[in-house]
Amino acid sequence: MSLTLKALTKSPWVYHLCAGGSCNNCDIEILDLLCPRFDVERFGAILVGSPRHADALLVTGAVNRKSIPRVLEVYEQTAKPCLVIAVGSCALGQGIFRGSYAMGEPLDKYLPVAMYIPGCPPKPEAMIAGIVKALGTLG
Amino acid sequence: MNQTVADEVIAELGSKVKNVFVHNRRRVYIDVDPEDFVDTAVYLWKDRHARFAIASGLETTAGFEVVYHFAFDRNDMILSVRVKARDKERPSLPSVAGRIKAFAFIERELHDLLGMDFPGHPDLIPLLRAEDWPEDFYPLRRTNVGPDGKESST
Amino acid sequence: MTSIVPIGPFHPLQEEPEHFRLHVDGETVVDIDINIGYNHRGIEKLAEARTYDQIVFLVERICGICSTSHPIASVNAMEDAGNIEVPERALYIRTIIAELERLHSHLLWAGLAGHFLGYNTVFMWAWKYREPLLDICEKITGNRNHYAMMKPGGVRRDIKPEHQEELIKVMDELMPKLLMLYNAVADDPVLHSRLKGVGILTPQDIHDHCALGPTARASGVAIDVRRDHPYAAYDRVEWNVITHPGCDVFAKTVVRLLECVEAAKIVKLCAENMPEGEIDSKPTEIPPAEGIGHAEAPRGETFHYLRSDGTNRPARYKARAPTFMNITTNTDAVIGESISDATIILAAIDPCYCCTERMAVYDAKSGEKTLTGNDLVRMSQQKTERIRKEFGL
Repeated sequence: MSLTLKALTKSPWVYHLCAGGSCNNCDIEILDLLCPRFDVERFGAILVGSPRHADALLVTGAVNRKSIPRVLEVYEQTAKPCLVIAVGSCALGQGIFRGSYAMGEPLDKYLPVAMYIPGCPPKPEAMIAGIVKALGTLG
Repeated sequence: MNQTVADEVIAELGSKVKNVFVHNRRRVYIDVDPEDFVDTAVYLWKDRHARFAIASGLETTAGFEVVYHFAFDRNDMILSVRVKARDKERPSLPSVAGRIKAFAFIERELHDLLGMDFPGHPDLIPLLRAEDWPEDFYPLRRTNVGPDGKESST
Repeated sequence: MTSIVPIGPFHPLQEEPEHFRLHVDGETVVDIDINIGYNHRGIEKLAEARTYDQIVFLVERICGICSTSHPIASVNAMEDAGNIEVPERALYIRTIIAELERLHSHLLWAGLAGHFLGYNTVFMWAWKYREPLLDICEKITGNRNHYAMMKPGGVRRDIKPEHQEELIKVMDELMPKLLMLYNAVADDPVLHSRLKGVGILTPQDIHDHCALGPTARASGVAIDVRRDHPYAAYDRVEWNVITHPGCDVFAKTVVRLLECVEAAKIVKLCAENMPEGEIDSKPTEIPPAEGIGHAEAPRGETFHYLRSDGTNRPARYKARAPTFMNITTNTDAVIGESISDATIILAAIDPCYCCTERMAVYDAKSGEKTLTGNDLVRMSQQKTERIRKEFGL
């Protein structure tokens, strides 16, 4: 079985976290993954309602200062190992909001990011590819 | 046609209007003193049924001013009312929020970002400020000290 | 792995990042705290250090779903300040992009509303019909969202003849689906029961809060920037402003669905009647002046104001999204209502998707947090189930 198929059969439980300072486009494209065209549920990937059950954290947003405690708290709550996947230019390096007084540091200064999926927003295909690749590292 | 509406409004406001600037037929700017502004706002919103669109505050070399934008949806016109705060050190304008709900949030935002006071506001608490902003950090002020106490990078 | 930066002081009792904190007495909402600080990005300050061309890209990212309405308001403000002309063809292209966005935004909302109400087929269906719209946007602009189409003086890209044809085809295919969706809602007794008389905003409430967009139009207040302060090509094609006197969530739903029908109509008319010609008047400067531009985003008016000092960066830039005016209406819409209806009422003004996730319920007497946003969504879905059973469905 290829590495990709192995990762896909792991039925990853994914929690979506918006780290503030987001235009929500990435968040919407993540939700789009559930819908008929992309339908990640057929791969067994499920968007869960609580971080406690998450194998992977999909994080969007440029990290608004007010949201930092929540970001840390959510990560704290996840069962380890939990892969942190940064989705979109903002989660990668604060994107177009870099340098704003309202932002903290880029996400990877707060959480151990395992995978970066670039784009503004990334296409759903890119997100799937990134998630699969990240899960492949779980071994 | 909008010129007529603007002219009517300016005539009715009478001596409250200290200056008029017509940029074009859809954009008219008037200056009003702080003590006349609440009555002006209520007149425009209540009597003239204008829609308060938003206010933009800024600090110029002359001091603090807020431009309040009123949309006349039936006349394809925006009437912007400029009000200049008298005190440069502790800028303050009378609150309209107690009379018109639509002013509540923007006055809090101006308080957060420019450090302007709005005496009479029912609840002038932070709207956008994060807890860790230094007390004297007002992002839209000219004298720019960043949220960490150092010179802002933008 | 990079090192973690301490953010102290970290207060364990720090306020949780809820956008909406509902205070309840039993099952009834008695008060609501609205907190919008979590998405503050300091865009106006950033704009002061950007050139006018760069600002259009910056403001595009104020909102993912009202994405292009901000660039339109922005370039309108610049064109107002500089008395800049825009070629006819560019006006039509702006209209097409704006209406395509309205379509996929309203369908997104319909899907989310379906999800909150426990109608997952509506969720899947609405989001499925968004896809052909996002596809044609990608063909024309290069991206599913964030189109980078607007510039002061015109648009950045032309629409090719084959894409003009395809737009007409996509709209023709979409129209029956939109009508089907509208009829499904209009005829469903369970939805009538869920949404009628719920979350009422009277015309006086709309006036008090200076609310906008479908939120206002669903209370019979006929305001629409496209008709009242025409821009782009809205005064060159025939279309209707949709209003509904109901004042409730049902009315807001109907308004958005019928606006989809109008939007498809407008796209088709523009694609069919778009004149040939230039798409950019290539302005070179904005003299010292003040400029105001506004546009009817899916959620209501976006409003931009700038002060130019004659350089290529503004002295001041103000951008106001429609939700800023609409969000305070929640105080009037949700107080006195049941918590199982809270989700759909808060969602009815179509706030940022992330906002509705961040709800929590606190007991008004003890001050204790009793329910999360997820709980509220579940309660809403359960209420629909109960009603379905009552109707024997």
